[in-house]
Amino acid sequence: MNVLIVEDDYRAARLLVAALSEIGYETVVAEDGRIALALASAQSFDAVLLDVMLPQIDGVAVARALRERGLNVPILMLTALGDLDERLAGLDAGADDYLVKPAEPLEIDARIKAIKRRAERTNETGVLRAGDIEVNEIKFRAVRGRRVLALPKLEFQVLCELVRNRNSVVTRTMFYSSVWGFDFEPTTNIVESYIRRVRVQLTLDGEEDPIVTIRGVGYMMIGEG
Amino acid sequence: MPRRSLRGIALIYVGLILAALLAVRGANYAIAHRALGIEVDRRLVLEADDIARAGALDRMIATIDRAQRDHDSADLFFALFDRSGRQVGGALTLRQIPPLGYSDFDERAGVPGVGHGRALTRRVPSGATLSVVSDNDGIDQFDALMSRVQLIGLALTMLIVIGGTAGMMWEISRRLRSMQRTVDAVMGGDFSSRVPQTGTGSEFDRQAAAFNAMLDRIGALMNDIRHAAKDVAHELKSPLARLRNRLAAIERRSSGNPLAPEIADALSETDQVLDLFGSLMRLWEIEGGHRRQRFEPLDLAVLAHEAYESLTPVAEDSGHGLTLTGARAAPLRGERNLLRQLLVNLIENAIRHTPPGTAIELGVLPLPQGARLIVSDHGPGIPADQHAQVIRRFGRLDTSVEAPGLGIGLTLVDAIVRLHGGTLALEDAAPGLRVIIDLPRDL
Repeated sequence: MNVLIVEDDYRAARLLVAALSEIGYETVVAEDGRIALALASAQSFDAVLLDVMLPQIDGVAVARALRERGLNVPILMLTALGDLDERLAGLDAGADDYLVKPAEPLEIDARIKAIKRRAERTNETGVLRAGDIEVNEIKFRAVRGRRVLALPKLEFQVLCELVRNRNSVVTRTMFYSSVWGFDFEPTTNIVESYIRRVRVQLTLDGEEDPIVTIRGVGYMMIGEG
Repeated sequence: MPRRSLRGIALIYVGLILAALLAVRGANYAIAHRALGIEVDRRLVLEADDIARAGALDRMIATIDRAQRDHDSADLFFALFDRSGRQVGGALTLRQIPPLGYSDFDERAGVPGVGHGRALTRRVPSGATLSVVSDNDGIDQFDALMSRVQLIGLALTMLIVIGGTAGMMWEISRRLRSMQRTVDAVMGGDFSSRVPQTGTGSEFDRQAAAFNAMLDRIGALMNDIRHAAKDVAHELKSPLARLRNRLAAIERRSSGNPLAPEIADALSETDQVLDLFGSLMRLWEIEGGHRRQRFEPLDLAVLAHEAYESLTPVAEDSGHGLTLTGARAAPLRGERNLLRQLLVNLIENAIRHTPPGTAIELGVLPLPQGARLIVSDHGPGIPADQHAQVIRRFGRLDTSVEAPGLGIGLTLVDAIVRLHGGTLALEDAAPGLRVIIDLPRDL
């Protein structure tokens, strides 16, 4: 994975480069918005990590400029405070997702992969697959093999997130924002309770558990699409 | 000096004015009365001198007769006695000759035609004795009239004084009340409230301005503190997050390592501190008030149902019975995400701070001007005298026994409620804790 990091704070940029290279990312750092625009236009990246607070052109403007130039590279905004206005401004400008700084590399990785998945499935019929598991988001139906899974609405949505992001991690915060619409972290482990219920349904006939727990990060569904 | 109420001060003031007026009016009366007395005495002397000047007895009798016919002296009566004490002149009938000099008499003296009188008795030439008597009934009538005039004057003056004092009191109380309203609003969390100023530059206005300036200053200081706290939090958050990420990375590679449980503990404690930072920043964001711009019409009953649905599996897993009651439509204007957090926080608090098997009830009731949310549990509850403490920032009951998180949970809830202009109350659910939140339909 080749990402462009747009960050004016040298120390923060260095830490991000080190953390991402640990999980196998290649990185290029741009110190301000103009350099970022120049780099992104000249070279193709798998994703852009964009700090909101930048000198001269701020992150929101950079995101808008990238989209105006027809670049649909996944943009992940990094905000210092979890300030709602900043986040919404970023999303309005064309960013795909946001994270509060400092973000964990695995969280960044999971978000970028999720953005790419979302982009890939835009023309689909609402059917997602992971191994022998198939979910139909439009018909609100989930099956494993030939067995129909009895899942209430929220459990079904949890399963959809896992299947859509098969073979990559879905973090807790990703679940909270996509399934529950929470912009905060609950203090009890709601996700864990729901994953337990989904697992029970998936393994009722003694099948193998396709959900892998990534401790401290989230959950990942194993299976080919 | 003992502190007195405004009413007390006004009463004392009115009392003093009344006493002073009574004294002035009384002195007025006494002086006028005395002046009349002196005038009467002077007339008696003048008349007596007139008669005495005649000299001979028969000439004096003639002078008396003339004087008695005179209209000017119709209120004067005379009696002339010769050397042997026999009355020889004047129309006045006296039982006995009054003592020499001035004397007063009343009805008991039995003088016909005179009620109250004053007599002057003196020796006159020819060895005779002359008594001149003035009928003082006129003075009595004048006294009565003067008393009436004085009383009416007193009453009018008191009316003006009492009316004026009441008016002044009303005006002062009005200013004090408007200041009190501001104080109450500030105490209630609306720090933007200020005492209204009329711009007249009056003492009241200057005081209001000084009071408002003081509030501005306190606000600025509070802001400074908040900014300093924010800076510190930011400075700490980044290294903490890096520490957490490193611990997480170590933990992922630690399976089979004897230190693995220790690493997991360290990671979880770091997570707790980071959660606290997150909550604090959230709190600052809420208290900043910007979220008010995102208020929209919504239904609290629907949000309560969503929260109930979302947390039912968590409650089941921890052995709690979560129920939702009375959730009819409860429309109001609010910030959806914050109200979601409020609901989730309250239910999570109940789950985390009560033993398994405890029933938790969530209820939404529409109010005439908004909605009421009630979250009750039948756990150990919180002693009534500590209710205020748990809402206060970082307030917690006993850090050694309470699960982490209570410290800021209710503070966040309280901040969200205040942002919506609502009220938060804790009650004893006997046993357990009942949280009652009233939210207005609109701010």
